[in-house]
Amino acid sequence: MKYLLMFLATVVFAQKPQVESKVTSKEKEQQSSAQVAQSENDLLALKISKGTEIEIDSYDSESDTFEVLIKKEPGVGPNITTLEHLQKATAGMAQPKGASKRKSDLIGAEFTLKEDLILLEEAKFIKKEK
Amino acid sequence: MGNKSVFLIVLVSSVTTWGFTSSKSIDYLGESGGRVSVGSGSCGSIPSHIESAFNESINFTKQCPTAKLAPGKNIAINDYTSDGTRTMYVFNQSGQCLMTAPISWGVGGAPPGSLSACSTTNSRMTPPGFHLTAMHMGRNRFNSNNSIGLAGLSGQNSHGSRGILIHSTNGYGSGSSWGCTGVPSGDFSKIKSLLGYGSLVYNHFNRDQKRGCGSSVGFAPTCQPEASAIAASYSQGAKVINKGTNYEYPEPPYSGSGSSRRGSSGAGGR
Repeated sequence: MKYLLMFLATVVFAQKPQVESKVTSKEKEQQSSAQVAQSENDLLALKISKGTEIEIDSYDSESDTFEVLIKKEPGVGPNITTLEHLQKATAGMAQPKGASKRKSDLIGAEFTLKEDLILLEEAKFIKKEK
Repeated sequence: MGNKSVFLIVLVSSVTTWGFTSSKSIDYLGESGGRVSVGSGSCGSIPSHIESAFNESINFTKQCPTAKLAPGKNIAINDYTSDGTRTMYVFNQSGQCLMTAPISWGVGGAPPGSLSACSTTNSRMTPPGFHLTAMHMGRNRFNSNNSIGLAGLSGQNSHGSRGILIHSTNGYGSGSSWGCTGVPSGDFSKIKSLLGYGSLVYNHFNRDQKRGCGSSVGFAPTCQPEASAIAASYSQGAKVINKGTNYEYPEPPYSGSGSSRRGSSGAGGR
């Protein structure tokens, strides 16, 4: 009986860390995939920083998106965004004006960003470019 | 102890076997002008035009002082000439291919997305020719962590006036940038560690790929480095005179350089 109890205690002791390690590895896996996603976002750099001077370059009515030019880095792009993101990043300055209030009226407008401007992933718009 | 010995023997023999079987010899003109056998490493077969481009790169590093590579610096050939997948080949200076990766190119040109090269500011095409990797101190979108600056060595001014970079993209294998070379996110870290700053990058185009571009800049291998190329070169050990305010810069052997002796007052073109 004594040996049986010792044996059971050993089995339980040996199994407990395995259960914990299973949980830990699952959590680690989740953390790791979150880190990978974060790291990929950092690498793709899908935002233009506050303080950057930009110019609205074009408007695509089909996708309802704008292409934005970074004034000092005209070779960096495409920088694709929405009116909502533009308005947020310019503290509401990016507002279609004139009688028509068409979004395309914003083409050529220049702004200094008050907040980071969120960009959409360009790969989704490549077909449009071709 | 016996197990360890067996393990070591297996390990050594595996490495040795891999080393011999993974090398495929190609030749290039070595320093002496003779043919030197080099290996393609893990890159598979190396096309003959890439071998030629590597030769051109080696010759350029010998003739343009700013392009002279420090030990450990590598040579990347961005192959935009072939009809297949456009590919970056990274070689060490001995000609051993270290890795390949699919790449993107600039959407400019006519028609948009066609594979044309151009160095003008708003062309949205990829600038052709030789570049040196340089630190990109951008604060707008890409920075020194997520990109590598491409500083023109033949008058392109790619970094200073356009912000041309190597960076991650999901649009690799297509015309999806405004001139930058995009690489898969999963390859970027390795490329960054292999190239660092002061490595040579050759955006390799055919001469007929300047459709829609009014400039020939970059197609001929003149030695006209932009400021950030000079800074990158000198940060790798080239001689600085006047306590960092000017760079000693010998006359280039190439023709057509009107700005052969330059001074630069700081790091980078930004």
